[in-house]
Amino acid sequence: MKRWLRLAALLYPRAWRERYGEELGALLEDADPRWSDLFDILRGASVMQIRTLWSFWKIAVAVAIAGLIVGYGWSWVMPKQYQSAVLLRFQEESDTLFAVDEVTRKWQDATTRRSLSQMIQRPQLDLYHDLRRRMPMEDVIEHMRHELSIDVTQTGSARQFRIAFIYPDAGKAKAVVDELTSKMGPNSQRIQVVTTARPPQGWAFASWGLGVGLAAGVLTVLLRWRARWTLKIIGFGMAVSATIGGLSFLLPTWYTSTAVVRLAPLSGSDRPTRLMSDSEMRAWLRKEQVDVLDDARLAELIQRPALDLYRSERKHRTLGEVVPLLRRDLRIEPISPGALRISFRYPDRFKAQMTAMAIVTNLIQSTYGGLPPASVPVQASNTYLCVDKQALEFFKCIQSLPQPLPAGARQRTEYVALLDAASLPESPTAPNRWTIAIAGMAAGLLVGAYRNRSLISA
Amino acid sequence: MSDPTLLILASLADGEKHGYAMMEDIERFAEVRLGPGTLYGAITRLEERGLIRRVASGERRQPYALTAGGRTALEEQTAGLERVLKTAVRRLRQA
Repeated sequence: MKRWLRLAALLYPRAWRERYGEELGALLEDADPRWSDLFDILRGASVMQIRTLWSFWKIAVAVAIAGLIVGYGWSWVMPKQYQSAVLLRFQEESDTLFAVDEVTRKWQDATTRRSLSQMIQRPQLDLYHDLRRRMPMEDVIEHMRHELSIDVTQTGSARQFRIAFIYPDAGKAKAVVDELTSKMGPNSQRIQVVTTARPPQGWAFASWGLGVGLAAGVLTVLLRWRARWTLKIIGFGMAVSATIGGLSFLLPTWYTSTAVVRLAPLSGSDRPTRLMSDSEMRAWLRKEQVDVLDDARLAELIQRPALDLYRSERKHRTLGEVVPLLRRDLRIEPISPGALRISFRYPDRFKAQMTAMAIVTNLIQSTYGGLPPASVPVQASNTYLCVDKQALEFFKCIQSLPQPLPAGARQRTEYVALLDAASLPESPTAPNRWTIAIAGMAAGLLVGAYRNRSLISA
Repeated sequence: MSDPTLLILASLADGEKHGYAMMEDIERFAEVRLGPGTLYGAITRLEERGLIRRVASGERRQPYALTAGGRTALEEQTAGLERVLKTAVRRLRQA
């Protein structure tokens, strides 16, 4: 029996055994052994293991679990969200690809920056009232786009489109979906409209709570384990973060202006063409970029008196050396079927907008080839530009047509349409001072931990 | 009256003792047998709190003694228990 008790005593932590092992051994020799003593020693060894080895991590785990519970609970306190959704069926086209493109085209028109801005600010809707006080309109529109969705579903042979919008007010969510549906054309058949309370995203909040709780728990453990070392490296991290964050105010502020154009390949047919596929768009872009972004055109843009770009750089560099800077600050990328985003960043927000506008104009003029610039309109959405030879005469006609266009106007061939005109940025996009400060904090913590490594073993 | 830390403090009140002597003493005056794991768990906690201290000796059977803090803690606990006992006895007589 005593042998079993001595073996069980080996389960105590090494540090504890070094301290009390000898005298516990003496006690076991003196005392009359009982079976209950075996259980008593096993229980004591378990408690001591937890106290010495796991007690720190128990705190971290407990705080993390508390964070998880608080995060999940918080999700139920947040205001409810409502999702309004409508199921639409369109008159079936023989060309199903065309049918999807046609709906996509209408959806793009209905959700341009201008359309959404009008909807947000309309007094009857008055969407995102509080958010608009804190954020520029550009960001509010982007937020609304995240809450809007369109999905294609196939039920048997029928193709249906589901349009949905999420908003804290059920009535307004439904009103937005109704308005968007009305813009989807007369041949759409409304099948079902549902507005439901959206369950709170409990797990998203719980994940945040878990992350914050875990960080707080680890910090608590470190403070209990090596308070001096922990405080020193936190102080070091905060000092580096504040220094780098402060220095970031010396960096130039950049504004980004964006425009969106829609592309459809020339077909020569008498009805609107399908949208460009991704591969077609990339091929088109390669060709247009060669024409629009050649050195001579960009050099002309830089020197244009109204723009006068990169003035300080031009003082000590040749024009040929400055042109790559404009290319660096310009981005042209596909964003959705047939849609291309053109963005340009510059320290002056007005010049950022004017340059983006000029590049869009160049892109469209280049598309028109031999057309004189005066006859190339750069207008907001829903004004389609006609390009092929058959449509050239028709194009002039479209400009003077009353709205809605008569039946004949539908025969035009679309090539480039301006969905979102170049924006005037209200808030800077760079430098992101929060990211810089957080990166500075991380670097400071690592350097601080390395510099004070001798304190860990103290 | 089975709190092991209180029983150990009470056992050491009349002088230093090693583990086995404490175990026997407690069994005698409180009629409670503390297992070896329970006894040494309580000794560890009391020493960490500074209520008892090791007495220098070259033997395997390590004696312990109350510290000044341990004596104060024991006095406070016994005073509290005494008040509870007196109240309970008085009320039992009145009932």
